Amino acid sequence: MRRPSLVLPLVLVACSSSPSVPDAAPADRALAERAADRAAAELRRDLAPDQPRPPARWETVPGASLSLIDHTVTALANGDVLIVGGATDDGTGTGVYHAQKKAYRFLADQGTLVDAGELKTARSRHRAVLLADGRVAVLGGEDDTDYLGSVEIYDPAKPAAAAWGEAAPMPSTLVGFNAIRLAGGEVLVTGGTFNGIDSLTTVLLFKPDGTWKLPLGTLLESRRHHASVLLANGRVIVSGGMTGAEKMGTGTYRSSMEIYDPTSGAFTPAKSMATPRAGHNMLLLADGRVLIVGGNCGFGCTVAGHLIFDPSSDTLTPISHPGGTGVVEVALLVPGLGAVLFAEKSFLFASSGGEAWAALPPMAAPRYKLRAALVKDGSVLVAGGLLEGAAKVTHATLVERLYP
Amino acid sequence: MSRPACLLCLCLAACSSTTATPDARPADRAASDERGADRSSLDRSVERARDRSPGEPRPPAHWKTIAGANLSLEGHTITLLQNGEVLIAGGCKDTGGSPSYLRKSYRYLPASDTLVDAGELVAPRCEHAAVRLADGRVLVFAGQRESSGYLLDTELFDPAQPAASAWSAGPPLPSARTGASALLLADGQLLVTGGDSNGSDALDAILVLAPGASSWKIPLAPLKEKRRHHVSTLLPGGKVLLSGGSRGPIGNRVFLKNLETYDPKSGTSALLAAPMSRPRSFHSATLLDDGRVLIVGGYCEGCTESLDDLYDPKTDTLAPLAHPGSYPWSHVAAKLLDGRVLITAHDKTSGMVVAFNASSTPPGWDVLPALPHPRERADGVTLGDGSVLIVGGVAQTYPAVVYASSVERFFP
Repeated sequence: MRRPSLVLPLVLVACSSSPSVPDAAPADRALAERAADRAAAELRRDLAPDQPRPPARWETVPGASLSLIDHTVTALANGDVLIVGGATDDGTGTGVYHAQKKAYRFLADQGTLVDAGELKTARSRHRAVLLADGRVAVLGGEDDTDYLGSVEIYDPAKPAAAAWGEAAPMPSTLVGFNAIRLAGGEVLVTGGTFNGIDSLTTVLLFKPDGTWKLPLGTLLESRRHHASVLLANGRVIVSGGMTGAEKMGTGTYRSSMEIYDPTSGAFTPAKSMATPRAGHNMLLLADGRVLIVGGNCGFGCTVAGHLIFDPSSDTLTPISHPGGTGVVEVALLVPGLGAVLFAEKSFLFASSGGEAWAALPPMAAPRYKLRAALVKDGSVLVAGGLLEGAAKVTHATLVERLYP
Repeated sequence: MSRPACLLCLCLAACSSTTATPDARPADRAASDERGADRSSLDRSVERARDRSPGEPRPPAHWKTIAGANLSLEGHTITLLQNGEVLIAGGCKDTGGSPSYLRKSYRYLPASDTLVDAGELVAPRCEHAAVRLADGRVLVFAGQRESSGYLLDTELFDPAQPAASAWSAGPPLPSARTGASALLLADGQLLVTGGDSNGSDALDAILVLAPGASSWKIPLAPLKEKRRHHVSTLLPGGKVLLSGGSRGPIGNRVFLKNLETYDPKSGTSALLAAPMSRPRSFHSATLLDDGRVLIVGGYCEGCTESLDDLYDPKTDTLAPLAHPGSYPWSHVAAKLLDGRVLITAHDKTSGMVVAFNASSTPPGWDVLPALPHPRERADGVTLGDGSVLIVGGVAQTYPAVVYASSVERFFP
């Protein structure tokens, strides 16, 4: 696959206006604070006018070397970061990968990467979600031959050798699904595919007791490689995605969005995006709005830029974007920086109505297919991915930290 | 006679073992739900209290295979007795393409977790109905014992008698039948609706057996619709909901998607304006704690819809529901003590088991541990402690019939 030669993380300096959601009830506002994490609160402080921001910088985690794609990188409740599974190139450079079992933990206080035990089943393209009790649920994905429905749970309080256990499997094997934790502690799993072609309208809830539940509602359209985000009011917005074969341009890409109501378990339609997109990302901003970034829409189709969705007015507003579009691997709200995107395309600086994109300095090992999460001290840990501009598939083995 | 000539044909036409299942189950439910003062209710409250005792961690939901129990059958009945034991009666078994009709009965003793002999029926019987009467005896009726001809004779099981003398002849039906639905009304009368006498058409007849009576009464007003393989469900106000079924010749059935409420006080019935989301027969219709009725699965020829329905008697309306997993035309529906309804799959591979949970937020289907030995056409019943017993059914149909002979008990 052709890759652009320059990939840099970029940041949206957003949310300089009032952080409160105009018509939100006090309870909703409280929820917004939680949902946007402590990062949001710090972001508001840090974006105060007249306060010069020191330049961001990258540092390499000493002694750490990982050869992974399609892994997960998850912030733990104590500020450490958990890296799970993924796939490693077989060394021939032909793009044949083998799923991995190992897990690693980045210790925030020591600044080092250590062993975090092994999955029972090697897997990549899985999802990992931090549960309300501090454990991490690892869901579905695939090993070298099959899609997986099994669920493994990481307990950060246990030593590495005893940290992993199993929970009830998903009712179906799944890849390409979304999994996000709701305000009530359940994990909402939407869409995906069990055969690599047909996407599903399936909606599942992983309950805190480790069992599964199917709410009465289903997605209004089948989707995989869609994006979901928890809104300030406890609802979830789901956007885009696709169904059908991904190669040969035969897939059907979605432009619709829908909203999940955790009380009724049903979905209702929301605004539609101007163009379809899959493999994009969504991020809840500190003011309750949602950034919709990147994605692709199949052969001969170009995703028309980034959007901001305002749930309070049900409006979608195009915003300027830094040049290219494409898969956005990671979107994080980073204290002191704003919305940080790690995309597979290069970008340009742009400005729009007080919000602006800014380039971040390049990594030591510029890469795509990376994963990233926030560390306790507000830095961003980046692990895995493939080197940009390499003649053949080459893992970006350095683990790097972005200091805002 | 236009009925299929052999049991296997019946199976293929999807009218074999579950013939008895929908017939028997609502009656069992009525018997255990409506007779508030009987011993099983008492046992339940004791169990509930024990479950809630503090400091005792509750084990996660699980299945347990009953050691030493081995029953290869279908078309049997399973009935909760007043003392909390379970009667398993009759049925049939495919023997190389032709059915053999079974005469044996068994008692499952929950306390010792064993299956014991409960004597032999007066004559073999399959695809029948079984209802626990107000006096604790079990009436077994309808069904068949050879490839042609439905049954006129009935029999009674008396749990107070030793196995050798437990079974005796009961009051004969006014006409032979199969595929009728039966339940016990709050006043102890047994209500039998519809069915089929000879395969040429379904019946609109109603039969009533009063407590202690030796003959059946036939109320003058018939049902509004001829129905066989329908389900009757006792509603909180005393009316009975009749759902679906089929009418017409057995070889050219019309599957029904309408509902009818029968009022035992006035002896009249009324068709509901709103239809179900699909026609269904051999389905289940289970009363929820909030008064609504969960209508699940069932068979209809050529149907493509795979929805369940929720009937609300307050508004006389139906709401369709998506069913999780593969669609269960045959299944076990068992009400759990916490109000959920356990539904097994019509499934020889996954054994997926779900529970409809109307009172949770959001309402939905809880995914329960899978049935250890997946099967179609099983039968089951909720025991006094809230566990669910699953008996019989088919684990493989081609190239030869293989029965799921294990007996499984689910602890929620």
